[in-house]
Amino acid sequence: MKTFLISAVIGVAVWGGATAPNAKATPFESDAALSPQTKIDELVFTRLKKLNIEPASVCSDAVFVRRAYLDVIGTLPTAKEAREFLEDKDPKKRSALIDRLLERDEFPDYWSMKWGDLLRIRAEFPINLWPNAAQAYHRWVHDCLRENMPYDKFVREMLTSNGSNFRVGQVNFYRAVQSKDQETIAKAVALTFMGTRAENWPKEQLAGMAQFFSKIAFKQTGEWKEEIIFFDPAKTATLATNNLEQATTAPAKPAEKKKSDSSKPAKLAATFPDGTPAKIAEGHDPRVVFADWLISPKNPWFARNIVNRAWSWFLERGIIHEPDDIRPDNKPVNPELLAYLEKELVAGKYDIKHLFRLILNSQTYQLSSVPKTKSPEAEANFASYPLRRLEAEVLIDALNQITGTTERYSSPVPEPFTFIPEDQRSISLPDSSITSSFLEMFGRPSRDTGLELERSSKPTADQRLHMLNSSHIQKKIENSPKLQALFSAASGAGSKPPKPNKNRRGSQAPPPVNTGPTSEQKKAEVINQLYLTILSRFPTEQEMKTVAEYMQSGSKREAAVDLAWALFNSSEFLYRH
Amino acid sequence: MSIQYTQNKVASVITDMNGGRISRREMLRRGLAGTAGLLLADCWSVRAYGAPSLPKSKTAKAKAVIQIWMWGGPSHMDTFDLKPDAGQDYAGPLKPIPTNVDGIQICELLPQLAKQADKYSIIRSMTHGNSGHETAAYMVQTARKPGDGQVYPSAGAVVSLFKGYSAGYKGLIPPYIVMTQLQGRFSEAGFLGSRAKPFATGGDPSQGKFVVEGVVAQGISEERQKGRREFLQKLNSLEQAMPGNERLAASAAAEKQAYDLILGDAGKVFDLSQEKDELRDRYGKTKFGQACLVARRLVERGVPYVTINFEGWDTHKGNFQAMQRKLPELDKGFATLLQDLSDHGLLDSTIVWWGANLAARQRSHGKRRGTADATTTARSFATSSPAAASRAAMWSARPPKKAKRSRSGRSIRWTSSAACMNCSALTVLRSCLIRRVSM
Repeated sequence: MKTFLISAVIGVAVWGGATAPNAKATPFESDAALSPQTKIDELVFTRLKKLNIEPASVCSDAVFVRRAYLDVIGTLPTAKEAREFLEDKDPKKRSALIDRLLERDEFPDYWSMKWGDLLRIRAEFPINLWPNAAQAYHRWVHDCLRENMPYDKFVREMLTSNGSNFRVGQVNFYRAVQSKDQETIAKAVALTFMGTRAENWPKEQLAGMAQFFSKIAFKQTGEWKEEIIFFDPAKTATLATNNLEQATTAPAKPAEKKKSDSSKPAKLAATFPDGTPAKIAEGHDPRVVFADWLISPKNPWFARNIVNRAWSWFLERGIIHEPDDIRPDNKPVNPELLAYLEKELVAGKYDIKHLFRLILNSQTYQLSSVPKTKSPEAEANFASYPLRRLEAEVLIDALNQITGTTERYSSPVPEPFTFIPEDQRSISLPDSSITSSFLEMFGRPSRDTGLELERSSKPTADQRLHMLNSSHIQKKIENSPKLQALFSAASGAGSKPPKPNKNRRGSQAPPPVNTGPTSEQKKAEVINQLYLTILSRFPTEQEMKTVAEYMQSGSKREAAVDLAWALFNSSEFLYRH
Repeated sequence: MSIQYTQNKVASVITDMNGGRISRREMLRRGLAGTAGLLLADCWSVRAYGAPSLPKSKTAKAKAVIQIWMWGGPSHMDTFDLKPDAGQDYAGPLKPIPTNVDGIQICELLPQLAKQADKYSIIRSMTHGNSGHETAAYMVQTARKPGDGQVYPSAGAVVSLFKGYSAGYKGLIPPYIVMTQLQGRFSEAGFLGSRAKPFATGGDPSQGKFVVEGVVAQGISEERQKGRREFLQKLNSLEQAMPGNERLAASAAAEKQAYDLILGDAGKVFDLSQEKDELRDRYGKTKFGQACLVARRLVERGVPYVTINFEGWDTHKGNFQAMQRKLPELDKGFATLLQDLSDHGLLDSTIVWWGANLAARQRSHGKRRGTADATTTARSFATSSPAAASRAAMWSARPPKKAKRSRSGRSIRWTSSAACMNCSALTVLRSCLIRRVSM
């Protein structure tokens, strides 16, 4: 171990010295010329030119490797992965990395988390799926993503399946709502798969759509909290009732309810949201009719919703923004871009990875986050990559990965208690009811509504307190099994009587000629390694100097701990950039 | 019937509040609030029912709320609403004892609270009919029925919103504190989002040093704190690469706020070594007891809402053993808190709200048979009328007449009308609590 470390020291110290970026460029930008690489870039850059906005430079390799890992698999690259990518001389290494990441095991983990937000995978109030069902639902989503099920099929499955909430995970779509009346279900379908807020529609439009969901029945079984969801042709309309009344089952109430039912006007005809009346043969499941209308390539909402959302997942803003508030008076900033992505998705047979690949390979996506202009329209037109704080789950996973520590999660919901293994990553938690003050503090969505904006990335003083000064984070760093070797190496580096190095500060000292690593080299390696592990890049000369100075005085071990602490607390670590 | 209250006392308090406008029954019916409903009664009558004049003594002057949250739901029949005549099957082995207010009896395991009965009122009529812990918690803390498409914030979140930073609160300690852990299974913030979340202290106040997550660090000297901060600033290359970036500025502002708390004196509020040992002992050297002491210190420094999350009351099995173990802890902490607040002159401006998401019915063999028939809340009365403040009232409801085993056999649901909550009344109550505290 020690010899390995030492040899790595020399290797890196030399390498780091050899390719230290020149002083004027930031470590975030590359000198590569900016030229449209893909159709996406043509459309985006044309628009920017029209607005007279200069796009940011292309991001550096170091930024790219970190960004791609975080955006595609919600996971930080290890020091080794980062180094290998940085050292790779292949000009096509970026697209090769994208391809590799799309096939990683963490891909379905991370994207099940995203879908879990939209599909409201939550065991407890107000969604009340119950743990067994939340897990079945999550497992189904995870399987689909792992197999890259075409998106149209993915949606159709959720809308048309029958069966047990514990066994046929996708039926939980209809249970993951705050109340199971047909209008609430219709609103959830419209929000999730059409990106529109049906509560703002004309009443008749929503009522017409709700008819498609009027024959869904829910039946209890002998198993605690199991429910069968099925098509019941004989079912009469359900009106919006509240859970309270259902829960109390006061015997006097149902009679009253029936009365008000019968006083309602005659049954409405199922009408598609575009106004076309639906033809549903006797005994046919109207959900199927709706699903087939929805996923048709001609449907104006379906592809638009998902490509617009996917764009916003990588670039923060939708081409129509908010991405789940599509309506006629909310115009896309770049209609050609939206149309192009829709066309590609349909032509690619709803292959989500194809869509992701298009976006990820564009230079638009690969722009630096350092903007060249303060134009207010720059952000909305994708002139630079948007800074975003890491999601709660991604952040804690990154901290754990680097320090080699774990979180202990538990679910307080009994019957049955959910066992969560100690090494469970937070992005793979199936259920937002699982209690964690860290995740809540850092804006994990509660999954009450399925709205994108439920997830908060706002910085707060509480979050800063926690990162800067909590025993939780402090212990992770100080007791870290993974960083221990580096901390000891740092204190080892200081154990030798320090050479008179006052003069050396600031000026570049010639590398010593002897074969063994000097304490200076050891120190440099510790610093390099901490930077690579935490920020996925090598330190700049300036940073190296600052750190070396800090390490001059006091305990060397403490100084190395402080360096790890400072890097964890830097915006560069806390933000996608 | 063995309800321990004196009719005239109840009546007198109601009269104080409402000028006799609402019958006791009506009051109770509307008083099925989760959110410390009773305290609102005065503004309630004025705002909701349009009483013609607002007597001077009725203005709110509460500045803070201490919520003692009994997560899990202790049995009301073993705490503040014993029913010794209900028969051995229901009454259980615990006996009522008299208090320092005539006619009020509480559990024998709460002897110190019995001496403080002049400082609180007991509502024995609360019920909401839901036996799911998480839904019940939602209803009690938000006074909303579930399933209307929105998830509402808890009273604490709303109070901290209206009395917090946007309302001129200047303290460095966040305006909504929970000791020591978030409640879980209940979203305090609701649609207000994470900004309205309480600050969870973590740590354990009964330990030598109360390590409040983020505020009090162990083993890091102030000098090192300052050195690290400077070091961090120098290494923040992303910020240097994009000076003036709005998002990073927001983060830097949050960081500054955090450092004001870390390096300033505000965090000393959590330092219990500043209190006399004798007082600490009176509170009980337990997590709950010491949390009560911290709550007093927080309120003293102007924090508007403090929740003490007292867990472990979901006593399905071995209920009476659990009561023997836990009630003395509750008794010491809660009773000393009331006395201490009073000694510090804070009781008049502090609402202490004791309650749970639900309460449980037990049978005497100690196995829980049903849940969710009532929530008992107690409070210290905070009004400007000294007469009202010093008077205790017992509010007692008849036990529900009929109980029916549900099909699953897991819970009893009351068929009496008392089980149906009047949600519109609750909404009024909730907004009154907020107004009352916010004034």
